[in-house]
Amino acid sequence: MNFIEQKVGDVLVVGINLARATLQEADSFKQLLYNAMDKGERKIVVDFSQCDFVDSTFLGALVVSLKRMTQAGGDIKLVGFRPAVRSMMELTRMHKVFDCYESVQDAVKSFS
Amino acid sequence: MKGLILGAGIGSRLLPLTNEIPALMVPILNKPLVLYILEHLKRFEINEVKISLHHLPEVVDSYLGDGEEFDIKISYSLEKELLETGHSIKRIPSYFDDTILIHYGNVLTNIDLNDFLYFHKQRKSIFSYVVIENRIVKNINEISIDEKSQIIDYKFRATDSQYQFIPAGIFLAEKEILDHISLNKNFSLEEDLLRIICDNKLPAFAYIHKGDYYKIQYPKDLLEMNIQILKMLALAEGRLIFGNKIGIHKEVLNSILYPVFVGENSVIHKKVVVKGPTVIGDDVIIDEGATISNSLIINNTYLGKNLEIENSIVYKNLCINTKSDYSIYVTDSFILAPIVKIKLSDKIKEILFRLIDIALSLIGLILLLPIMLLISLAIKLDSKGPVIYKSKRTQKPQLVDQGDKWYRYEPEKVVYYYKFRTMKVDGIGKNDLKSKNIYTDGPYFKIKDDPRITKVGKFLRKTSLDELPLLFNVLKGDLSLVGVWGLPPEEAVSLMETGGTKGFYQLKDVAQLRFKGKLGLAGYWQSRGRSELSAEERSIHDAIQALASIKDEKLRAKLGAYSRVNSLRGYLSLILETIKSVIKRKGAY
Repeated sequence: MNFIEQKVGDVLVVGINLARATLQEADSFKQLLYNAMDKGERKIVVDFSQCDFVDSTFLGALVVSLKRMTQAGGDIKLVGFRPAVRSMMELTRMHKVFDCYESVQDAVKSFS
Repeated sequence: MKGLILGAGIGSRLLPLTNEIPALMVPILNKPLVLYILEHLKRFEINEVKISLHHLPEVVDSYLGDGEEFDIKISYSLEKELLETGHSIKRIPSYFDDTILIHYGNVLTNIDLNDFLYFHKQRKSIFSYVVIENRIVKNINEISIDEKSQIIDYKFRATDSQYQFIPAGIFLAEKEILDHISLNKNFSLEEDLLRIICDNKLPAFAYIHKGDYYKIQYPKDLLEMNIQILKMLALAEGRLIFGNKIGIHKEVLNSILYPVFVGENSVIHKKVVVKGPTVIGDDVIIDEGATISNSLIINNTYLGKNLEIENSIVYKNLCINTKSDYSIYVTDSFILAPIVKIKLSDKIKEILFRLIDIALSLIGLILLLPIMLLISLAIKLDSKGPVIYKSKRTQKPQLVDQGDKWYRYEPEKVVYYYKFRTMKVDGIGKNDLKSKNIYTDGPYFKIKDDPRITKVGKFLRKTSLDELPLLFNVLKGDLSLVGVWGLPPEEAVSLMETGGTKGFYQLKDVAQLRFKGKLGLAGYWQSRGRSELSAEERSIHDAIQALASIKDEKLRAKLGAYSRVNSLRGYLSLILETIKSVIKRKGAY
């Protein structure tokens, strides 16, 4: 299982169960988020706490999904950056594009 | 709360080691001492620190910078002349906006700073000392306190050890203490200030610390500190700790007496005996038959054949015996020597990349010449107009002052990309497209079934053959084989102003990073599906590629696997991957 889905209230939490989130899994990840949106999910939290590396293709999948989600009136929030992922997010200024939180609880709370 | 680390001292008792390394930066298990202090402060939510520096300040600055990498805000107070501790505080009154924690640069403790702060606030202290019990050290300043911990007396350089406590080098200060510190450059917190406190009965208190306390004054302290931390780590992580890419001879590995720490890229040859506790830094070479025991070998050091090192600190060609404090610089490079790293400098790499560009584009042009002639002929026959179309592209837009506080973006460096013409000369403009309800999606747009395109043009675009003349640009030096795709000026300007992806302005900051890179043909997104990717995805690929081409070691370290663009292998592989992707015709139209 590369991605673990879990419902917390009306928020869908997607845990990335990969040490390296790269182009191999980017498509299936994008598909998962798209499917969730099609099913009507408007509050999604993506949990990176198991993740040590995120490549540009995977980041791309995230951003495309966020664009679709904001157009649909929802939001995707990110949590659990490890140091390498955090510096990647900061360098690419992605932390300004997404709302980022320390923990899943914080992110879930921010939706309400 | 803000912190102030007093790091200006020369570390004279650590000389001659401190001739090479400032006292703040002496290594403890390969990490500079100051980093341990910063980590301790951070644990108690001190996120802003000023460091006073005097000796070799550039070494500290180049390592810590503004602290962003270490998640703490760092600024420096540079002392041109070596000042005593009191003066280091007196000269930065504007830094005091609240209680400040002052910490010596050569002290490590496990003190609970929250508890210390509570102690300080509860007693409405204006200056608090952390003190430890005197462990039979003589000739030291001692403090006497009453039952409420207020400082009532002190003894300067006591010879008969009258009082119990000595200052530990950690203080909490309120701004009003500055009124009691004179501008005298020899004013010390441990002498002059104590005298003033006792004479005027100022509300100053002493907090007794009973936990760990290390002061790194002499070489033996530095070795001891390394060994202490090594033992703690060895308990936690097994007996031998080592970094990446080390080479230890198999027989040696079996005979090592633990605990031993080995840093990155270090090599230990055969017949070497390593007896722990021993700490070996990064890029250290220990040659055949050497014996190392109870020692600290600092980075970039070569230890010669059959050398015996015991109870010592070794750095390059300097060896300090910690038992006798005897130190020696070895002039014979077969015994001890600094390791000079042969590394392709950025300049050489740049020249190399340029040579590759010239060679490959030249070969490409020669091989493709017949095809290009055929294409030229086809274009001429298909529609009227020139064979080559010059497309205006730009490196990056630049802010231009229009007067009256109005600014406008203008393309900075304009380059004309040579392409085979694929559109009709008397074609339709963009506005005509809009009237036909064809809209473009920001700077990264391409349109399917564009009515302006000629028959031959359609084929050329599909096969990417229209871009072959770009090899002339590469040969000329306008752009490189690997780099960020140049945008037409108006698209670059719109990217600067709006982020370029229609209706998704949040991405503006990310998308603009592309302008940090140099222009080129092959790149991440070109090698991964070309126009199939959305504008957002491409902007991220471009951003990362641009970042990776910046010449900054720290940045590269952060980018990790991405910095491969900068290696010879990465350069060639991106070219290959892009060619492959073009041949597969994935996503081009």
